[in-house]
Amino acid sequence: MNRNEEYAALLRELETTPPALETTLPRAKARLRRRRVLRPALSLAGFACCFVLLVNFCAPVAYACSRVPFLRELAAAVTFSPSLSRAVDNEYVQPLDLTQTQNGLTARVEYLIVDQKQVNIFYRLDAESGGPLREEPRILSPDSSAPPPCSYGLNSWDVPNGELRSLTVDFVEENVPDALLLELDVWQDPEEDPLAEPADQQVGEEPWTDPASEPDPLATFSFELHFDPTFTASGRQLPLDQTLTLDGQTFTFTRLEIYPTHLRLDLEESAENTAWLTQLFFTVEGGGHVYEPVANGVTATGSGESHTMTSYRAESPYFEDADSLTIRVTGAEWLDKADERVWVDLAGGKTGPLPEGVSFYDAKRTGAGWEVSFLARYRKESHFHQIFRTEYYDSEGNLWEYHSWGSGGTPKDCPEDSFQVTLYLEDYPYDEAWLCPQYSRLWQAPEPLSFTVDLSE
Amino acid sequence: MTQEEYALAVQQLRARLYRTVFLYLGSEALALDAVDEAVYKGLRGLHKLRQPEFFTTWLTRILLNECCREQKRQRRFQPLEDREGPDGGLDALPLKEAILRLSPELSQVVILRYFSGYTLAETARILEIPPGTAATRQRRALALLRLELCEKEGDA
Repeated sequence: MNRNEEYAALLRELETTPPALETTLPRAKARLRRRRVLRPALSLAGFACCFVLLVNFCAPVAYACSRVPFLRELAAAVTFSPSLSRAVDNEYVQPLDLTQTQNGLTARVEYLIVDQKQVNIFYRLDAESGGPLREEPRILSPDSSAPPPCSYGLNSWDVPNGELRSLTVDFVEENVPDALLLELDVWQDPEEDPLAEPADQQVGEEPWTDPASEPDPLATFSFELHFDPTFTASGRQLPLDQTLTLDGQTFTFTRLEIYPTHLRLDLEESAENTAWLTQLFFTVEGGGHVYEPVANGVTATGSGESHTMTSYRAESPYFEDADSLTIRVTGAEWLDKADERVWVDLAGGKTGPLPEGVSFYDAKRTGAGWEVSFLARYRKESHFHQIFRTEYYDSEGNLWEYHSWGSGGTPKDCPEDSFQVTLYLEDYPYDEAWLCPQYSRLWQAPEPLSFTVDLSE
Repeated sequence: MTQEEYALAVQQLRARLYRTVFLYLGSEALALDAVDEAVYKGLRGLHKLRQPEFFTTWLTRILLNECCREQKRQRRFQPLEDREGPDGGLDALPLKEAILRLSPELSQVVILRYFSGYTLAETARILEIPPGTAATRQRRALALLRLELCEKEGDA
């Protein structure tokens, strides 16, 4: 074979690319999301809460609101949520025009989508000079009394200056009040140069950062938001009394709540259960539509007294015309009460029983702490899930908490259906730790269990 | 460029990126890692791309930086003589290996031109060198590899 034949053969060889190349972009998006998840953007007092954060990469679809020009941009900004999209389609929007400027930065609050349990705030940030802007929100009561009992989180990151950003404020037990105070701390990041070669991490450098090193914000904006009572009254609660046995565990579904922004399915657990319900897999069907569980933001909440999540979120049928809804339970994620904590011998590389599909990978001392990694099987391609809660214990039963973790692709020489999760146990001097799994195992119902709720009354 | 446009552009470019980096690094796993890193960095730095018409060269430059970083890392673990041979005496080696043995400034040009399908102007822009320099390096690389390809062969 001469050189030119070799060249042709090499070109042919290069025509075949590995299948994993097709998912390079989902991996990049997932990594970007994880980077953002580490930024504390969600607070919740008194309630446990499961949440998922998705950066909005959905292709914008055509909206009925095209006849209302000012809603077009808003429609594009809510494609991460089918419920909010339907709200915008139905012009269920409270417009605002609140603008403030400080230190060359301008913040402008433009729209609200609010109901009895949730407030979605849409705003823009802009700077006279370049440099991407990053914000940290705070939700307070306008009269400066106790903070309102709500959780809140950003829906979007890396939004270019001048484009719509959004924040969701979620009330679990209480209703949305007449007014809230939104404070936004805003920083201007230096322009990142993706062409610059990153500095090598020094050997022995701790991978976590000191949260105290955050500089002061360049501006702090404060907006008093008053809600139209027509919107804050929106919602409907339907009592249920439906007991189901799922994989030998008993639950009573007690209430269905339908709001414009989401649906809630509430349940109570039996004290006799041997496992906590950490995730319920279900759909809601009615009027020819299927409403999936919420895939962005708060997905479920619990009381904090039990690991069971007692209220589950799905997309809302509020704007649809259905006489009844059928709840179809297809599976569950359990945390067995006997496996609430898992022993990990960090120095010896051994563990007690780990959650289904999870295996120990590596543990190494890093500075004054430990970096411990596990492998977990994907449930869905390129979708990472949480393996451990953030609290953990030492041999004396003292509570510790880690503040940073990361997940990444498959390490070389490991099964391709797995991803790696690394926990950074800062300043943890001991060689053993007791980690708290998020779940023990998954269960899939042999046949979906369902019941129907009459909406016509 | 919006994130949706970025997604579409990466979908169209990813095979080309992979081919480029595979020849640089000589391993499927390393090539995939480098493409992943470049696509991630591109996504993060999308707001920095002021001229979307240069997206292809911009992302390829990010990728080449990743290659350089990986090559530096490899050099820490491999004796220099195993990686950096002289540019002469390459005709006895298989083509893939011979390309890897070229000095970086020559291998970059030949990979971009004849395997990734960039034009001479694009190659020069990616490498931030004058087109004349790119042409000189191209001729020298082809001569060392004993490859007889015409000027336009690598054009996309």
